[in-house]
Amino acid sequence: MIEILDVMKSFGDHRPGEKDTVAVNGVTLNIREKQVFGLIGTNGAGKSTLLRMIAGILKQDSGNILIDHEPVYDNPEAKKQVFFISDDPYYFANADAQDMADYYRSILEGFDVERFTKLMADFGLDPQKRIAVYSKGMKKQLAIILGVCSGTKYLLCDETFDGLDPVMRQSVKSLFAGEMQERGLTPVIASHNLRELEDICDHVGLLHKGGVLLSEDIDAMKLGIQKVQCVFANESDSARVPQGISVLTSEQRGRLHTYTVRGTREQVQDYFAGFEMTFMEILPLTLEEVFISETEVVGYDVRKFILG
Amino acid sequence: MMSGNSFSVKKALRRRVWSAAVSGLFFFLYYVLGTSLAVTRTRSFAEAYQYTVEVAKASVSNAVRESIGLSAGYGWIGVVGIAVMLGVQGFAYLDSRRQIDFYESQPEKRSHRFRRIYLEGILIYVLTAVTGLAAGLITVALLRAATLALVLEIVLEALRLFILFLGVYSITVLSVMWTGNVIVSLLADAVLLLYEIVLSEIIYALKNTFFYTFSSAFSGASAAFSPIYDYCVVLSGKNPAAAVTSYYREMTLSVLRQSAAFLVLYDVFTLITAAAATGIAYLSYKKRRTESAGTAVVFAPIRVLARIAVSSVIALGAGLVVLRSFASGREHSATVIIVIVMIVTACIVCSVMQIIYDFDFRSFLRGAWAMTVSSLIAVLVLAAFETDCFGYDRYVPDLSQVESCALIPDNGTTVLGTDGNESMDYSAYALRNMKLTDTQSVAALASYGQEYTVKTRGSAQSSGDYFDNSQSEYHFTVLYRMKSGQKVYRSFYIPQNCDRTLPDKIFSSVEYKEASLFSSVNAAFLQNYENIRGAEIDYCYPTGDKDMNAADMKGLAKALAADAAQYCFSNLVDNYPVGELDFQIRSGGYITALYIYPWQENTIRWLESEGIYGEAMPDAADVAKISVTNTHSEYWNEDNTESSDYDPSVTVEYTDPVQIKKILDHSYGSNFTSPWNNNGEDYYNYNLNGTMKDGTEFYLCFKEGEVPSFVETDTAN
Repeated sequence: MIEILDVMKSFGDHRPGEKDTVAVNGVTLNIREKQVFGLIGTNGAGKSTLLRMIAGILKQDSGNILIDHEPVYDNPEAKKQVFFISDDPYYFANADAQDMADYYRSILEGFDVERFTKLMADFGLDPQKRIAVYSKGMKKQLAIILGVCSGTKYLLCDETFDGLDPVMRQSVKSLFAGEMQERGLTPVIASHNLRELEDICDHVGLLHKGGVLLSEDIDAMKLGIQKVQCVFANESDSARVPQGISVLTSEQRGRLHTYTVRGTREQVQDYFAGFEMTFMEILPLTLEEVFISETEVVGYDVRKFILG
Repeated sequence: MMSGNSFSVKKALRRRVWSAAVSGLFFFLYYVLGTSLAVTRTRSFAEAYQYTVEVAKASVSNAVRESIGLSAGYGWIGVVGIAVMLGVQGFAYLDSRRQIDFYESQPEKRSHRFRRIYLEGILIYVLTAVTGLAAGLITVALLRAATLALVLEIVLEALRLFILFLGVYSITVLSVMWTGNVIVSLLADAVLLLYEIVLSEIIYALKNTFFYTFSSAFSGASAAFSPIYDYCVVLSGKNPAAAVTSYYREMTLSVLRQSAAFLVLYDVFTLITAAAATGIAYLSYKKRRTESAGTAVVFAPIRVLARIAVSSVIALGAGLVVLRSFASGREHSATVIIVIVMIVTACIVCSVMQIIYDFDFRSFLRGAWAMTVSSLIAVLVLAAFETDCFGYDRYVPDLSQVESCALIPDNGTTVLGTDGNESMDYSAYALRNMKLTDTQSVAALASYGQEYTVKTRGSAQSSGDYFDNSQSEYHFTVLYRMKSGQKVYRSFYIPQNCDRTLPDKIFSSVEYKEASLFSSVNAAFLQNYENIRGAEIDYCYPTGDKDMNAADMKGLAKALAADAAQYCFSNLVDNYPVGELDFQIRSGGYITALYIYPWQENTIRWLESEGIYGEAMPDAADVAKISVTNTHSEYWNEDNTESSDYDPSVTVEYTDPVQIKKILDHSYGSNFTSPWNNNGEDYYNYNLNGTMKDGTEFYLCFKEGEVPSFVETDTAN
């Protein structure tokens, strides 16, 4: 498990009288093993900073980051469990993919050379070709392959899916799923695109301005919120709806009311059965709608940045 | 610790193949190609100009020494370049966010990574340098130029270059740790490597300008913690090996030992610098935040310190440049202009540095307080020197802390050392051998002289005049050897008409006589030549020469030693020499001049017995004529409207025997003019050219203040 305990990180000279930029502001998160953790937020939310701290690249100003109960910064034993894929991966000058694989093999005991060869073939990448001539997408694919083959327990991906075409994106998602099943890989994926993460993540954490707005299992999130569309026989009944249930959002178009309410499907059904309705339907929510609803309540309009 | 990040030669070379290739290429060019070309060219010259076998051999040896030995002039530049390249390249990843993400995410302890990269750089240098050195030695052997001393010298030079590399490399690594950008790293490196040298030169210039008792000849600028300064001292004339090159002789083990002993202290300083820089670099690396990549200077205190330190020194330097344009640095108008220039310079440099820090032209006024501080420092330093508020000119050390002194007058000649190979002038000899224990007398004389010097020079400069009274003064440098090991030098003048008690006491001491070659009574020095055959003595006017053997040298030394009892300041000042002994050492060509005074009766008797003594002055009856020229040099000190072609001098020829005798009675041979004589206006104004009846010519000077009245009248303008 990765434990992030009240971590703070700011950038600047810490000079008196000058304001530093707070990148991560008291974040507390737990990332359980064998689940795909999605870290969502806009640019500047602190996703990359947080990932780099988990990878042991940056040192937090305060708080703790533990990997399997071991602090990660400057700790080779903890770092052996983690492979970090940057948004712009670095490769040795004039190296080819095989050179990089050889290098990782020399520093990571669990690097699987055969798997690397197979995946390179599956993804259509030539291991003897200089990486400098790869496209941006191919470089990212290579980074992912190297990460998967490293044999580490945790794979940290910083905006890795950007630059991949939809087919490749699906391939990578399948790859992650396979690794998770086979050896219990735990991917942590940072992105500003919620739609991209929807069908792969088990757990999502939303960062905004360095803080965590919410951190929930997707299933649990969806279970606890329902969208209800209804038409009241008696229009005045609509005023009584918020009295007995937690209404997150409400919208009206003519006589059609749309409510996002907290509660299980059965609870919501039972509650609305108490009203005389001309029409009522409980609809599934997308992850996006769940997020919007949850964050609107606390005053954030996240629509503009999670839609990507 | 994973094997991929472990330290190994193969991995080091693979990871940094380009820098290893550049280093290897340099050492091949330096050791093999350069040496081969130099030796081949020298052999061609030797053949074309028909050198003797010995000279040809020495020339080839010198060619090798000037290529890759202690006298090599340019190899160190390549080594500095390699050190900078390896230092920057090894840690350049710290300036790139992408590379930091790559390396810092790997399972390797940061301390281990620092150690590994640091040692890799040294390893690359050592491997390529040793390979080059081996190839160079083989080349020298194949060119038939190798001797044991030469081989050892080449190895010693290689070792010194390695020490230079360590110093520069460590400082470069430190500069990388303190900066976040390669260009700024190189600038910082240049500052760190050169700052002390520049500062010491500026301090030297300030002392030379404002302190009347500063001894510029002996108190050189010193930058002990600069590896470049410590290395380059080998190229200075102080290095015993330099004379071997200058005089085309073979290097010997003895001189090599002396060179090594001379250089070891400087190398130790470099190693101390390297160790300190490495330690600070490591601490900085630990403290440095990963996100500093891309910033100009990582640590805020370093930014401030660098800005103030660099701008204040450059401001001082700018002030000195302006100072040179004024005749006297103590004119008030000069001071005002210099201060303004320094303040403006400090502000400009501060602004430029701030722009570099922020990579933004608009930040030139940011942190303006640093401009104030820098300007203030520069102005205060200038004021401190100009007013001598710390009492440099008045300084006489606590004599209880003084171990011994040396008192060195002006003038002297180059002499040969005991084994025939080392040359040094009288001052170097005195510095090494003169250990006066009567420190009280020396300090009292120095104190008097310093006070006199400040008073005479100070009043002249205050009025804007340039002081020139060299004709009636004597110049000395005093060295105090402190018990702490420190050496303190002061320069001073004493007037010719001073109280002679102190100088007589000092000059009469055994310690002074034995260490003062100029005293002409250094019997021990002469005895060194006992084993040198073939010395010649030329006794000037009239000329007498003699091939000296060991017995002759012994006899002369004995005579000089017997006359030593008469040696004192007064006897030097009040007498004109009657002759000059010049030693010509056939093997080395050195000349040592010893003045013979009339009170050296034993020596004169010995010269007479050997048949080489002649009267200093001719008999008037044998003189046909004497031409006296009055140059009227005072003409050029007045406002005159004549063209520069005008010659105010007047020449009169005397043939009257009475007048000739009077002239001879009041003059002395100009062939051997001792600096102790009062060479005043008469010396410079009158030239006497005599012709004997047999046609021989001779030259004289009037004794100061003894120009016959008829000569003055006849040669008036």
